[in-house]
Amino acid sequence: MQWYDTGVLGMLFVVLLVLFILYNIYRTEHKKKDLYIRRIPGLNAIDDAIGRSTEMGRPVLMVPGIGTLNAISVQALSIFAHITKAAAQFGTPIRICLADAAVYTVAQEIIRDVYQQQGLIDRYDTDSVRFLTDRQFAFAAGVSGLILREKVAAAFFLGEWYAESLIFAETANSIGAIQIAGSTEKSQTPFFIAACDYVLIGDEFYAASAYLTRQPILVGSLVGQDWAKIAMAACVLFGFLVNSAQRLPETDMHRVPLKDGAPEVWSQLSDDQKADLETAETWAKGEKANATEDTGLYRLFNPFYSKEDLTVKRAKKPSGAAGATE
Amino acid sequence: MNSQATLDLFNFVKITCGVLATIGLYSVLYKETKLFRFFEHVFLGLAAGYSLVAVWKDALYTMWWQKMVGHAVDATHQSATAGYWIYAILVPIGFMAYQVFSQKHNWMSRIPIGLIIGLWAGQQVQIWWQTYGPQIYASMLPVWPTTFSSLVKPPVTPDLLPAQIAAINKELYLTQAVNNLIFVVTLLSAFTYFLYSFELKGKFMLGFNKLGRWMLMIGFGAIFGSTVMARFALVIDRMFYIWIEWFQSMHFGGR
Amino acid sequence: MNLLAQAAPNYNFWAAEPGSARLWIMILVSLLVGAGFYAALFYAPSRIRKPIVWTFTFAGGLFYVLYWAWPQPVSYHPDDIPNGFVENVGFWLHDALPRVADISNILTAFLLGLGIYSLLRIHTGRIVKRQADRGFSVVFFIAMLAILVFGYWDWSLREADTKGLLQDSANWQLANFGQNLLFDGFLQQMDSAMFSMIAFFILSAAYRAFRIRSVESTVLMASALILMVSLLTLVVTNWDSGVANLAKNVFHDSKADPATFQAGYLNWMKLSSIANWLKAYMQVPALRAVDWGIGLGALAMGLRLWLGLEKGGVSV
Repeated sequence: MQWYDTGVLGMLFVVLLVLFILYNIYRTEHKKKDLYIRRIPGLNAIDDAIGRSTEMGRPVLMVPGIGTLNAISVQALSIFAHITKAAAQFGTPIRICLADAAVYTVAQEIIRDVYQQQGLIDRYDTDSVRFLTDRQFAFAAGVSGLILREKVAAAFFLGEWYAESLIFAETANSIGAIQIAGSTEKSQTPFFIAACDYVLIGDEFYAASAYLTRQPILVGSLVGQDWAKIAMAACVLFGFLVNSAQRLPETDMHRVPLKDGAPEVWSQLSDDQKADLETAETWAKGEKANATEDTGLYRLFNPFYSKEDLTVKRAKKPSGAAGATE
Repeated sequence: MNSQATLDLFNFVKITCGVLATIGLYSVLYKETKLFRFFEHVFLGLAAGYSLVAVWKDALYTMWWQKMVGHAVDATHQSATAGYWIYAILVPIGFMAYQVFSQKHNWMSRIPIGLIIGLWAGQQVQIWWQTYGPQIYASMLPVWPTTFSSLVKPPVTPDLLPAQIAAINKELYLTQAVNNLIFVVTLLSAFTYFLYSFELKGKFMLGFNKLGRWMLMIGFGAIFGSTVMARFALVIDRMFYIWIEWFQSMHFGGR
Repeated sequence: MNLLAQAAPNYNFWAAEPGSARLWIMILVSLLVGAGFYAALFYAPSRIRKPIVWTFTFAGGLFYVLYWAWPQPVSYHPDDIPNGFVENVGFWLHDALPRVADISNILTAFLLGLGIYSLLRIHTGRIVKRQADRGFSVVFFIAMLAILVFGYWDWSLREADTKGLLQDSANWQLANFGQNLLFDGFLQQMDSAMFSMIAFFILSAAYRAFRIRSVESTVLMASALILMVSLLTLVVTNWDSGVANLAKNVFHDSKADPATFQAGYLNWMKLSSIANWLKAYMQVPALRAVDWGIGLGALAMGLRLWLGLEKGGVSV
């Protein structure tokens, strides 16, 4: 075999998930029927939060975490765009604080767009979307100061959050702001649960835009994700039964690195070959134990690379024109 | 050459500044005062200024400039590196973002943004299996015990022979199998919480879903509990800084 | 890996000799071409704007998707000649990866200027409009300028210092002292101060969570309490020796030994065992479910953005 086996199972599985998502997007777009999405309490509370801000005449604060520019911050900003739409109609002031200049650029663009589409561009204040700093705790200090000084009435903390999450949540709580929070970092979700009024757990954050806008593409994608989840669950359900059966017999065959399994072969290799064959494995006899590494399931997930799989003969470039590396 | 006395004095000044800044920031726990506001702005100013320094010395200089112009053999570089001129094309692309404030051409800012997002999106496909494949395999735990000789795994004590220990470890005991079943049930029940487009019906599915929510709360609680101690260690470190290091720094020349 | 290859860099169309006229001319040419493209975009009609943006997004994503889907060359060496077309592309993708990986970071770095512009706007605005907090904006500017000046001054001194003299503070100059005072004295300590404040907030959050009388909040705090107590050494040693004594004296377990906290068949009752069990069989799978959902969400979102299906957001 000439090619490093990149794991056919992995490739097929990812392709399957991608097809699930794309097929459902296609299907929903051509169906023109509202699909069911379960209730997400945190998202239903958005209107209340904006309403309260409007009544009190205080700003709505939105922070998309401290992550760099990626789909998480883009997703957070599209939820914020939805919130801004309502806030713009009521003339409620908004504050969006950013910890990354690239995200700041996108936020400017998206939020201005919202006001423009509503025909309320005169209500848009460029300074309501502001970059503070890209330093984690300086950002925390800056936003805390802003929360306390401007006495925000509602706070939305959605996106990629790290340790600073609790500083934000507790500070906003101390002035009695309604808080809706959600983090893609599971390690921060418990602090949001303890300190905030509503929390989006896990990928409720990603489901939010489908839930709020009911755009067919987003809803379709959400259905596709559900199919993918069922596929993963089925995989685990099937796998643990198969694994239970396959672990019953005993064997004395073990997979070991080539280095340990065949020292006599290893010692004859050149340094270059050793580097190439670092991941190579071979079979060795050992203590009798329940089969683990030679079960079919194990090999499906952990392909076995022999010395032959990992060696390929190639001509060398003429010396002097050695390859350009860094 | 700076004398030891100068260095000691500098150290004292430096730590005193740090202590003042710490107290200034801590004051927000009581109330948002002018003291906090002062240090907040010092903090933000320093952070912004430092970003401007770091963006060149840690990012652009090493990642972009040095690669673009390369370097010849000299005192600091033992080997020459070629210059990749194509890196220059990133300047105009990057500066397209600066059109964001323009009324007419603000759409151009989406080009560099779109490129960054595209790279991120492609990476998600690339790393998906690397991240989740091993987790899927690790969740397929065996739930059928290989032996009923003992219900729990016999304790492994140092007085056992290696062969005896191996004989104990190779088996899957009933309690371990039950634990594995709990693992799989926890995983699947928590997973049902994240189904959005299916209406869960029937007593069993609703109960399973509820179980999943509880399991999620146990998981989150465990994170909460394990983090508390780590955070207290930070406060203790700060107290050490204020009470010990600061006072020590006053002993000029005597450390 | 291959040091010899580095000693004799290979100059080709893309890679020119450092300091050579060709390198500078090519840099200039690419800047001009880029600037030309930049100017041409001013005249782009609105209907082709979206396709232009999307082309960049798609090209970025396509690289990683190809890198993932294309067979990767086995035992790659930079001085090997690839066998055939498939390996040729594989080699190319392999060589290009580190360069492509830099693009995001470099572009993001260029964008910092926009963030700084936002800061300058807000703070100069406050000073010009003579708002109440303008004094603090002055403080902001002083701090920013100070670290900017000292930071670059210190960096340039250190770049020129090939002998490493500045490793020793005895040889420091004003720039080094200034940078050290601002960075180590202020910035780092302020980071630590804010970070440690979380401890106070964690207490107040826990206190409130304990007071909420819902089943879920109780479950959350109960599990938090077990984990928290399991990290208190004093409680753990007392509990565990209690269990070991119980096993030895009440159940007469021959394997129990209170001196080493061994409780034989009652090992599972030890506090550390309970906490570990909770982590291994409840925390790990529950959070894995969260992770899988997030992973799929990111994959779906990535697909939508890459293929330009997302309406709103960045690809309007």
